[in-house]
Amino acid sequence: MNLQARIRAEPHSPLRATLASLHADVTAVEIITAMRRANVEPILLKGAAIALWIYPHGESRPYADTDLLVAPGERARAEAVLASLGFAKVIDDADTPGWRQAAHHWHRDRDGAEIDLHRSLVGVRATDQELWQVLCAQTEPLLLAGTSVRTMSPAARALHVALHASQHGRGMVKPLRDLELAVRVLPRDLWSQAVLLAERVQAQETMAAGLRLTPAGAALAADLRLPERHSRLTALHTGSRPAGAMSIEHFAAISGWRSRMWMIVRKLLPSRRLMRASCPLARRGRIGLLAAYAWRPLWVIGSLPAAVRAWRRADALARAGSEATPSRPPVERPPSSRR
Amino acid sequence: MPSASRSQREPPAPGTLRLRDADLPWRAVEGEVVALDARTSEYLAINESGAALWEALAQGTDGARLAEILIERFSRERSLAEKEVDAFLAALAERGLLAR
Repeated sequence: MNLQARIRAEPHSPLRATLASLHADVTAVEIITAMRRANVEPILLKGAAIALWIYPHGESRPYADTDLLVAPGERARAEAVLASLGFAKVIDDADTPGWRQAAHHWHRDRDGAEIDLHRSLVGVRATDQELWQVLCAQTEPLLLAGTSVRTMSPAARALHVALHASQHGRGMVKPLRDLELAVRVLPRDLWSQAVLLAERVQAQETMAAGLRLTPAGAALAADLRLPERHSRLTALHTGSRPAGAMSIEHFAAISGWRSRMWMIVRKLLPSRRLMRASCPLARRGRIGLLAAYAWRPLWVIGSLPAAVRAWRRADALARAGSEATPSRPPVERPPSSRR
Repeated sequence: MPSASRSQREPPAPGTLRLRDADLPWRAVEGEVVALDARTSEYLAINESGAALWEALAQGTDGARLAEILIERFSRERSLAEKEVDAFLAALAERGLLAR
């Protein structure tokens, strides 16, 4: 028998991924405890709430960050708590004109800890307040590293699993594995409850698109009589999504020439914060940042043809489904904000 | 089940051996257990037989039952099993990983 301390883990190994998950759990407890002292009661999303729920014993679901949803009225206090713990916001709303992020990403240099502070979920059309009212009545306790934290009810988690799959489409393995397991192990009654929640937060279309990413999920979506139509944005999420395709969608969704001009300027000359978050070259000191800015317009122009083609495909799919793009698009997060 | 799987914990009954709850997340990975002692910032790896004991300790158990696990699942002689359990518990206690 062997109990080994200070173990070594190869980069990219399952062991390294597991160690990162344990570290994320400890960070989550640290943050939640500090937020509670400031009278903020967040809801833990994903992470351990999924890994310990539907994954078979011994199968690892790696995660390296913490996702927390807070009440709209508690957001400022939650951000102050994060700042007091040494976290810094990676990208703010001002960095992404025409693009409302569902969560802001925070990073702590000291230990590399990461957190997404959610105000909404990708694919939800309800307002932040409406979403919070629904979800805060859909929670249950979870013991995380010895501390009782609040996570979503199984029905709300099932909905989130489908939304998360839709957010990343077929381009990311983990959300699809979550979905595959959730469809396999969760009872149909629970999915029916998830559909009711989806209706309340205006996310049926996204939930349906997420489920349809796997054959078993598609059968479940049909059984649940979920809508087959979907918006252009959802088609972009679940389909092929080259760089820039989402930006075209955001450009199409905003109104007013000033806003559109500002968005174009910001696409060609993003804030330093966004450049550093999205481009490794920009993190290599002042010269690297300048080089990244010089390269940026060429990259944007070079990305355009594929982006336009993807956007047109999504538009055609949405038109074929006879659904106009919603007047209030679902919120989302920039794919570049996660390091 | 890993440390975060239960929503509530009752205090251990007298004589029950159990892992410390606080600051000790862990996962079973490919038959072994990986844990993080957040109080010392130390990662721990426990091999397969130790993992079986660890999982029993997470639920709460006693020394006799731990020895039975080694006898039943790992074909240990009773005297060796008891010796190994004692050594394992001593190692956990030394690191402050058992509930008091």
